[in-house]
Amino acid sequence: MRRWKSLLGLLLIVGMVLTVQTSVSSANSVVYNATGYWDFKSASTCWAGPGMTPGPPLTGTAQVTQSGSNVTIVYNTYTYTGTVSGSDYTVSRSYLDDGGTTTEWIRVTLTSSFTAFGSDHWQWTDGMYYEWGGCEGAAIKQGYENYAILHRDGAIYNSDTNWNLSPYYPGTAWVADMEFNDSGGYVLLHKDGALWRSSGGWLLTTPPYYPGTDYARALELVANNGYVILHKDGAIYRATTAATGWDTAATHSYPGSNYAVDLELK
Amino acid sequence: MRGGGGEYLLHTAYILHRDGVIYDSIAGWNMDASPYYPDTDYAVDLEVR
Repeated sequence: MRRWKSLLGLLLIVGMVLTVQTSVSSANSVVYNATGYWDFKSASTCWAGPGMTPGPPLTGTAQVTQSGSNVTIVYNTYTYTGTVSGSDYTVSRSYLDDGGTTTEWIRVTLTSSFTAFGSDHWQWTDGMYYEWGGCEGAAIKQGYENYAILHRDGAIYNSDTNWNLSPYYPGTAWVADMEFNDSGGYVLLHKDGALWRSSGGWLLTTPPYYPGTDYARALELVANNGYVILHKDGAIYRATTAATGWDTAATHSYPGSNYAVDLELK
Repeated sequence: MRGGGGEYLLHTAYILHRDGVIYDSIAGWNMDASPYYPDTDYAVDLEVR
């Protein structure tokens, strides 16, 4: 049932509006200039009123233009206008829709000059019936992501904290690959298959460590501290909760070919 | 991603030069943002985090 009418529904909507007002009234006093392009990604779970199917999570880019306490957000062909209070941004747009009016409003709080979180709510009504839904999400301003560069001798340059020299062995060119985990830790892959972990140091068990072989080309991290290593001939070593050991299937492993360059899990 | 590769986070593309300089699809080549040591061939990998 697309349309749903009840006193409960109206009360819920009023509740949401009051929540918005409460949030705005507790605005962070830090003031930013958000003008620029922002990449956003909504949470995996969105919501909708009774009888409605929540929309899918969205990923996209929005253009933000801030002028004093006024702000405009353009996403695709949609333009949202609103105001800024401290680090809180509230914009909305309304349009005629299916015999009624849909109003969308986006509330975003900047947590730095280049990071933000917030939510998008929509409400449809023709004066008798009400529908609503929304999503939460996060955004980052383009060009402001932190990054890390791996030196072939094991040092890491972090754009926010400069050089990290652990583990750095000058002149050795020992590193094959680097991966960060979700908690900010990182793992370096030695060309011979050993691993250096920021929490734990060296892992020198065989397999996957074969001294003097220069076989390892790429590393990927998986859940529960698991990992996957790509052999230069295309074989794959897995150390995961599902499987441990070498995958040398002839479909992708060609001994002596030295063809494999990189591995990505998707 | 390893050697000479790049990263693509949402809509910003980054390319790592083997001498350490980074190209991003927003600002272009930035010779000052990262350690650039010409002709050293030191950079192996780039991760956006």
